[in-house]
Amino acid sequence: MEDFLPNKQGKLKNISSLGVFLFCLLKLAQVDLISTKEQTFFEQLIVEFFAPTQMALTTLKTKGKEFFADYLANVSAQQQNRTLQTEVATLKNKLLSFREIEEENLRLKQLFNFQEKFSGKKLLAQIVSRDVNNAFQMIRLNKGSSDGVIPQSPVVTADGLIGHIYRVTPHYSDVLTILDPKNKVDILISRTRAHGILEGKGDSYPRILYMSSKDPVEIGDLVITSGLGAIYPKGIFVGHIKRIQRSSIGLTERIQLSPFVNFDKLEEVLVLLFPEKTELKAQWNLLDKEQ
Amino acid sequence: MIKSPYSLKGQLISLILTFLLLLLAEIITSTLFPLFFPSSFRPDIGILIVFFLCFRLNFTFIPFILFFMRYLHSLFSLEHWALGTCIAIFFHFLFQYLKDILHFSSFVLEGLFNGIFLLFWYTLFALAYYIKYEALAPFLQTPFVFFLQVLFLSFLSPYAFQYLTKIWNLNEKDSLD
Repeated sequence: MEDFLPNKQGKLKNISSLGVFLFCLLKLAQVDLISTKEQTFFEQLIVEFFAPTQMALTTLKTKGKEFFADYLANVSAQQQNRTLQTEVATLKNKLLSFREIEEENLRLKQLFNFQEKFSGKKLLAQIVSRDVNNAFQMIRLNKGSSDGVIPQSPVVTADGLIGHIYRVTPHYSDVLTILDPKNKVDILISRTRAHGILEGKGDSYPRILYMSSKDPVEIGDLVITSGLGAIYPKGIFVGHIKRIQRSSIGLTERIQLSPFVNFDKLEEVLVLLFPEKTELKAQWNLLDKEQ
Repeated sequence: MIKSPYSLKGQLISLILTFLLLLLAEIITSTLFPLFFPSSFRPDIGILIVFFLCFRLNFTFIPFILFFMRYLHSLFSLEHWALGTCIAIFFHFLFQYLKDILHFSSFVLEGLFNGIFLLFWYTLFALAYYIKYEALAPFLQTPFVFFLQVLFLSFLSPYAFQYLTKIWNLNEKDSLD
């Protein structure tokens, strides 16, 4: 029986456990499930220290893919005669490299053409890693505050909207994608010019809320950003309507959007930097100091 | 000289190694898994380390270690540290009651029980997610990938526990008070 009675150390442990548990519970009640965007020095240090490893692994994959492709090319070339073997392997290797370069050029060209549409500075960034927890949709980029990235900068590709910058360290930044439930985007149906709010569901298809029944949407309608909310500029392609579920009495409807961006195959993105945002932030900081 | 596992220095080294292992696990999950598997397949290996600490360690300051583990996890995720810490401490209490009943005599049994506990962990997470967002947790929307993830972690758990037992210099059945 005595075994079940806690000793002094056990009591202390239970008290400290309960203390931490209650503190976390209180914190949970106050905040969202998502961690804060203000990065402390320690957080910046950890991210800055370990993100290069994440980046190196991503690069390793690309190199590994090239190596594997080269190896396959060489194996197939061995089946041909000895004289042609070297030539074929070299040509195939070159072709593979050219294809890789061509694909990269095409992607960058699309991004370049796309970025001409927007005023302000644009920054090309690479995906370093993704969120550890698959309940949240975050991606980490290899550009940070030292490159001019500030929180809430919109992130796009040539295909369409990705999300906005949520956390920043000097050399890396985290993007809250439009697939995450935390992210809400004011959108516009291109055909009817009706407004709505795009909200992520954590899966590949976010939903559109608060659409007016006066302007019914149709499957395939083009969805763009409205420019309201002061985060995303107007006119960025978001996706098209994939599915509409109307309730039997017609009061509510569930609208599902299919984003133009394939989030599974993202490699490079553009961060749109608006100088006015920095000025605005400076003004807010000044106001905060005055208060 | 043999290093005593119960000395403060020994425990501190084990703790640092555990934190480094967690960081390695986070990097593997956030970087390697999305490269080679579908992007929705991201098993949180850190949960297994939390399970080990809850089950085998009985320190006074274990809640603070759990807090720091989940805090480090939040640097690689959008998940708030408070949520993970709450669930981890709940599991710590649960394991303290269950540790005299549960005896893992084989790898299969250990994996099976860890699978059940993982399902319980994700249930608590889904509950908190629903309360905050009024939406189903995304992993419930892709049940196949989710169960594959739990299966993977269950399979990995006996090996992870074995490795962590070595790090903490524990006997197979002992817990560190």
